[in-house]
Amino acid sequence: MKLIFLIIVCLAVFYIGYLFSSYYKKKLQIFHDLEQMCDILENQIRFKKEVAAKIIADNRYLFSNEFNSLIDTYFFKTSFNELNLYLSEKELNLIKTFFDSIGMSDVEGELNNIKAHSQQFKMYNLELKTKNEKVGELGIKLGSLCALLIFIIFI
Amino acid sequence: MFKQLLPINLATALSEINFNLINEVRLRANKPIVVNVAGKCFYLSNIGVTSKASEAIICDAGIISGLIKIVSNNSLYSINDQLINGYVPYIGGVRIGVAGEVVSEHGNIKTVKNITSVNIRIPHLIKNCSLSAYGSLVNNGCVYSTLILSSPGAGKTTFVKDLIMQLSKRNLNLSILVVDERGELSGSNSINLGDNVDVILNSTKKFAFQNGIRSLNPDVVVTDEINLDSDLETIEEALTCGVKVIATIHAKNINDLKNKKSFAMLLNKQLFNRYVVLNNSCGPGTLEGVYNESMSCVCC
Repeated sequence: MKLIFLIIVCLAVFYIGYLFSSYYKKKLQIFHDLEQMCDILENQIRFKKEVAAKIIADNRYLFSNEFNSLIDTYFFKTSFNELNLYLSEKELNLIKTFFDSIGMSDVEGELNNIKAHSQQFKMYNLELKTKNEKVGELGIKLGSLCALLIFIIFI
Repeated sequence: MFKQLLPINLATALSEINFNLINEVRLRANKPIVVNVAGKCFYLSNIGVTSKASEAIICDAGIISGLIKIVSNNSLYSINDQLINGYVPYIGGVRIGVAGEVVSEHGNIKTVKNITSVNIRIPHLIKNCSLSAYGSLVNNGCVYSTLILSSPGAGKTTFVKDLIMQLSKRNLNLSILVVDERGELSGSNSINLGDNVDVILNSTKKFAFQNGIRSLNPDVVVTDEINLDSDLETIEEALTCGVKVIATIHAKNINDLKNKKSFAMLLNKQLFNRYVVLNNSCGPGTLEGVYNESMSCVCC
């Protein structure tokens, strides 16, 4: 009985570490998806002048579930799930502003707008990568270590 | 269609009118909405049409900007070239004419902003409407190069669309190329014009004629609304390649056409073998007459 309880506690500690680590990973993934979406939009608008809704809908399979949920909320406005576990209010506003700015100008203006946002996302992505290396990866290591320590101490 | 384009109250009011009779819906910012029903203009009211301005629904400026957003699918850049030309094509051959503030840079028009007027023109497919003139335009399976003329809204495009369908249906050996500069003939490829029809959409006439003839080897090229000053050379080139051309032009009647500057050249070179004149006397598409190259009436 004690052993089972101990294993559950250890797994819980490990899982907390994993969650802490995945928080940064998901954040990183979302901004990576944003960067990728900017590239796709830029290419398709420059080459085909395709409407943004079609470009995004056609390429949704490339993006993570979290990012697709943001697309539904802020671009297609088909979902009203504004609660996001991984992004701060500032980050959400940045994404919302980007989605709101799509399709408001001629091709030249549109490409400049996408480029400017893409640059912003790139900078943010770099910041996040550094943070992830420093703090994010530490989460899973600490989680494993703590779980192991608890197991050794209480066995 | 109105449900997709307009707010629910306007779409409901328009649904009270027989859709097949609606030719145009005119929206002007802060002015009453005007509907052209069977060639006559009325105000739009909550229960359909009215001739009293006091009962008319007033168009809010937001309705127009909302309409442009819907038509562009929230991507203004995708329709900017059309906006510059003053109209935006929509599904089913609907043409949305716009008027607003033109933005220029170094003498070039960049866009049209603050759009204050919109004219939604609804095309109607009238089956067999070209049959009255068909016998004069086709001889032993051979199509005459034809110029169709009428004043705006008198049924040129409807006539041409039906003529394409008739030609495609009746003669399998004819390969027809439709040069659809504004998306009106093919309804931006949403109208089935027939099995022997190729469509070049949203292209300039010059490009479409040159490349279409070279790559698709058509027997007949059909196009809408030619300009005698700018398109004549292109059409002449096509005709010298042995291709027949069917085109439309804005002119009330033959005399009106004769008054056009380039008409003498058109007549001297006998570029067209048939001239079809349409009018509005018994509704759009009424055949006034078919004339040959020497301007003698062959079908009245």
